[in-house]
Amino acid sequence: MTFQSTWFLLIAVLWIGYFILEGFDFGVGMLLPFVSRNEADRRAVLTTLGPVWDGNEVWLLVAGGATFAAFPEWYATLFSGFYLPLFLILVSLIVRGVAFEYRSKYGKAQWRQRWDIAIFVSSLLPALLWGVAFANIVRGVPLEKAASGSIEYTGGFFNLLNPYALLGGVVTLTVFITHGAVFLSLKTAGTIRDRAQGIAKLFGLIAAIAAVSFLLWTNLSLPEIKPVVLVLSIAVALFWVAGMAMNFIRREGWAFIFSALTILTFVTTLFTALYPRVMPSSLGAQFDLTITNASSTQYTLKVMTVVAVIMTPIVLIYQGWTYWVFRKRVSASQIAHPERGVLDQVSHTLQQ
Amino acid sequence: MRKGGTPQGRWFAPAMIFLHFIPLLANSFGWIFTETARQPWAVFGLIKTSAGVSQVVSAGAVLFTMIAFTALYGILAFIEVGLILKVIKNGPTEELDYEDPALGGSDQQNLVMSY
Repeated sequence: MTFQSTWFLLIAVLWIGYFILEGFDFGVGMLLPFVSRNEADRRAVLTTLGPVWDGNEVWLLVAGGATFAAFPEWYATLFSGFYLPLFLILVSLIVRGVAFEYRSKYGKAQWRQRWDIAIFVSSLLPALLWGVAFANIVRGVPLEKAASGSIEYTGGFFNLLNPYALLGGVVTLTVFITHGAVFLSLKTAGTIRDRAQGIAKLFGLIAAIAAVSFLLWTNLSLPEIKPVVLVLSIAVALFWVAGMAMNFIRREGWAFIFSALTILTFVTTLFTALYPRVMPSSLGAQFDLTITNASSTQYTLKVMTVVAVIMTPIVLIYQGWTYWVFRKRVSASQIAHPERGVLDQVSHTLQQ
Repeated sequence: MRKGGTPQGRWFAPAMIFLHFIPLLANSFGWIFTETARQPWAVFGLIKTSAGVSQVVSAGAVLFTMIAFTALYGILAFIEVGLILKVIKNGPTEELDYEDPALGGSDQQNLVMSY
């Protein structure tokens, strides 16, 4: 397998990892107002995310970095062309990270309410926009050869909000909500667990409808039906049904595994439909970005491969270790003083 | 500070406060130096900054995002300084013994790191 194909595969793996991990982050963030009835509930929900959200976001950075290093033309065209939508995603991620960390620091209810709204909005926007972005990439956007010789995006901002892309956004939104709900039912105990399971049932159905429509549209709009893509699309549907069934019978571990597998297969479907192009042009195949015309030099790809082979297992091990350390279920009854801000710890030395 | 003593000079406390800003200044000056001194090159000797400009992103979009990021980070800095001052005002705290009800904990296996 050539270096280009290897790195196409690795970038796909990184995006798969990102969507599986940050998918439930977004889901939990969006569900925060809906599974909690009081402050202790909300703290418990955030505690399930607390140790892992940062490590999950790192996958995005690596996916972007790998794209930059392995396929710089793809990076340039994609990130310049989608500048404002990516800006919105970036602002959301910044606000989300700060909101998680600052929210409980101060004991006032108004402070917490504001940051909770921030968490909700900034989890919803990226969940929607990532689907829009990827649907646009797969569908093809207006790309043209500019005067400088490089292939540039020539559509506007609203071109990216076409029906196919918006449907893709709805798919990722509902899938992430369900994935987050399944995660919550796996990681919490008590009433939060029950409410999360109920939400997973509802959104599992909505996501199924959205995903089936989207995959049907994808398969039909390919120039010719690719059997691999069709098989993968069917696999997506089967995994999702299995996940919903597991959720129904309250086998939460299996439900999470199946929803993660669904996301894996879904992103695989998108990347398989894409291969060997990286950004198809809707203005003609001569303007397509492919894995050959967008890639770096062989030397760069070789060095990157060596580093990736050494470092990736290490990263996977320590990230997996984090999940292992924090594997116990969290319940609202374990939050000792929900109304007290974290910075307002009682000072024993000064009390004496 | 050697042999368990505490610093006695009046200069010590103001110096301690000032020292906190040195990494911030060093970092900022380092970046300002790097980014200005290498102009007009983006990659020294090979690619000029003007060659690195995205053709597709309009000047208006860049200006808008620049203002937006500056405003966002400005607001976040304001909030963060507020929180830091709050920590300073609260003074030193001790680790609560979460297992000991007499010290404010409970016997319910409370979470040590709660978000």
